[in-house]
Amino acid sequence: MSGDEPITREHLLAIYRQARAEFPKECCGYLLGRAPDAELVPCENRQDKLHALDPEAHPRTGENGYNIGGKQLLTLVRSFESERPASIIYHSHPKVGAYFSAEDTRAAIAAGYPVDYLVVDVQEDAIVEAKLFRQDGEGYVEIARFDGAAV
Amino acid sequence: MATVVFTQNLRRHVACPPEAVDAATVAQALAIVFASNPRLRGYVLDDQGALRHHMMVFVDGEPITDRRHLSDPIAPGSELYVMQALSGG
Repeated sequence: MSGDEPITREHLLAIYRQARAEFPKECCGYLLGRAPDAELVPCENRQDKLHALDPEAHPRTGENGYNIGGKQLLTLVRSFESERPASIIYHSHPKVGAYFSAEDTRAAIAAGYPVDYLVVDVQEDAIVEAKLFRQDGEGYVEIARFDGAAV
Repeated sequence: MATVVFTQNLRRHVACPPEAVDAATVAQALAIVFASNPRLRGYVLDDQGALRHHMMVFVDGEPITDRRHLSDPIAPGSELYVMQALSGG
């Protein structure tokens, strides 16, 4: 890969495998640092736990939402004060395509992290593609697309 | 003194710079901060005084265990991080 690629093929395939393993739930995680020297940090999706605690406050389940908490969240937040800040936060979209949803936009703007967001299109039997989004004003625009893979 | 730090996404809603507090538990530490910054309380705690589900508090790098009563102990020199979980659809 060239030095300008935002994510290595190795990390992309690892994310695809995670998306397949956690299907039909959304998977999530982030990259600490920048490619090619980044570290992949797969995270637990806590959305089902939140939904079980309070379905009114958290109507989404793990099938249409993700939530990163615990020490993985602390590592992410602290990375922005370090010399190796996170560069990409990723999650999968089971069955619905690799687009940046209104909920994704709302949450990303609320979080305010200086990262790009990778969304993986995972279907019953395939990873179709992944798309990388970057903030542009009050919205997010696609800045890169990656082919799916048989994983 | 322990230090209470609120992360960037909270600071965008309400001013909450790091604050040094003399406290023995998370509940005491947050009560001191909220006494001078009452607006912040509603972002962090629910009506019962429990930590909101989407909020996380870490003491010296470990998530607190008592989210209802915030009785986790802190030591002089402890660092409390208060932050929102990251979510999306």
